[in-house]
Amino acid sequence: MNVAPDMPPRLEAHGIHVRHGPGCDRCLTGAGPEQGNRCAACGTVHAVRQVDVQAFDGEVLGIVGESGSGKSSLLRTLALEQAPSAGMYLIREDGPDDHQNRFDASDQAIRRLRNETIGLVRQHAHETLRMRLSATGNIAETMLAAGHRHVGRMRERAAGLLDDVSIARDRHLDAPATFSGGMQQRVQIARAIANNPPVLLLDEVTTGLDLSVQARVLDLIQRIQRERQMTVILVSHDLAVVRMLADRTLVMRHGQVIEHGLTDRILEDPHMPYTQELVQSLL
Amino acid sequence: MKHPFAFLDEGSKREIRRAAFKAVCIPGYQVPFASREMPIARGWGTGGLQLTLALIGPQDTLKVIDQGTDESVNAVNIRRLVHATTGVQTTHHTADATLIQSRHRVPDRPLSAKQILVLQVPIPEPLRRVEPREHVTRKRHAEADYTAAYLALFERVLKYGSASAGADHPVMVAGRHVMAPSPIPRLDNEKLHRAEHLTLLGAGREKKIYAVPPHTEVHSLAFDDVPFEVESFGDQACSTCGTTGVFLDEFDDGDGGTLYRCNDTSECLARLNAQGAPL
Repeated sequence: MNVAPDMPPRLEAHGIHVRHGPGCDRCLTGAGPEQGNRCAACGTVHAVRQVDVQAFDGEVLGIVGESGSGKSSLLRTLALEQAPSAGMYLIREDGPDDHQNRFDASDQAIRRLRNETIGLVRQHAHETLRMRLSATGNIAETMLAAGHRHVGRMRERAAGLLDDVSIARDRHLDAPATFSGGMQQRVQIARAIANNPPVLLLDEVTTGLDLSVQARVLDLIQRIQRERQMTVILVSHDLAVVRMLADRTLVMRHGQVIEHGLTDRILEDPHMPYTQELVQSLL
Repeated sequence: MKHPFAFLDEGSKREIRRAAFKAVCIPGYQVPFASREMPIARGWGTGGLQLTLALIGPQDTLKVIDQGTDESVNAVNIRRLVHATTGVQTTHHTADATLIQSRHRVPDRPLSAKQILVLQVPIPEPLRRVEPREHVTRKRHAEADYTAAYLALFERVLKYGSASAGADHPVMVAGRHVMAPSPIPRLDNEKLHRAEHLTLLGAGREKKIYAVPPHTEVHSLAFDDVPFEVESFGDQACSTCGTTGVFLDEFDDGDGGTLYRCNDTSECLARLNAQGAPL
């Protein structure tokens, strides 16, 4: 870990709440839902409840939890893909909008943030990549969106990025549809960092890959994160992944953060019964 | 069976004219309209035909072009249909026409402020090749996010080494909307830039009308290091009238060679007549 202690956080989110359904007097005022994250009275699902997240420069923050715990919903809101029902979100860009709640930003501003400030890598590459265009074109797209209009320079940079993620030169012009799962993930990573965003969000990026490929993708992420001193937020149900990469970890259950702390502490000395169960069962 | 003047009922014509007015007000913006059933099949020029029928009056003179010629079956049939339902004069001479419906060509002779060009459009959405979802392309236009159009060109450069390949090269209209100019050759893109005449584009199957009003800025999309290029025929001239710098058709001359001839046949004939050539 190489966190600059005197810098304010790169990302800061307070009171994020993602609600599916109208809510009622019981679940909206204090009592909270009673069946996991679902309100027994009105059936409203509270996918994320009052979550605070802070992430600093050069830090890797892990978010773990079982399926349905709200970790992906939380990441989607942090990626500005989905607006939360409530919450406050600050992103430090050393610009005029640093004190603005980014959840209230205009569509154009959100598009710019997602293109230039926040890189997102998803579990399924086909949700991000254009599978029929070339790998080079996929990376150029984010540069085009940032206003680049010079083909030669974009090709050069795309080639450099694809080299970085170990895609062979003779495959650069092929379509990701013809790539293996691990290669697609690597193209996705190259695309996510094409505009040098300070923040990288990873949603279950190694789930579904076989173990040796997983290891290579994780190595790649670690190397890129260290070289660029990026802020990384990593969602995974796999504690091994979190142990390898994350400096700090949040444990989520039923939409709430039930425990947070240094990753080593969480894995070696889990305080909450649920975390103990998780660590027991997965390691 | 008795039809109203110009086949369409007055309500339909009014709706199409309103869409056309709106299109003129927002150059390059695709205005949705309720495309009618026509006596020809969708995809065969129904968008252009509906515009023609909504615009035409008894004093108009109509010319219909199909890929540069007045004589192909599509042009003949549309011209006959309009004549049969309106009784207006028809012509082959570009200069004599007040209303020109065209499939995939802008006439070689510059049009005047008194003429209207109606283009038939198969795919009005310039972003469609990269983005299949209509609700997404509409948002892209609203936010003036034309990454997808440039991405399609970028892929073309990767594949063919040039952004200029084929017809229907996208254009930026009035600095705001990226527009599909219909599959006209790239030479014709430049005829839309600051033109004297009004160009209306109609897509019957896709139910869209859009326009390039006179004196509007129309720029073909390109990159800083890969400029837009029009078709080049080297120093080839039309083998019939001897003109250069126009869009030429290629024919097999029967001896394994290539014969070039003007694509705009009525203009080729007009040039021959002006030269006093014997028929």
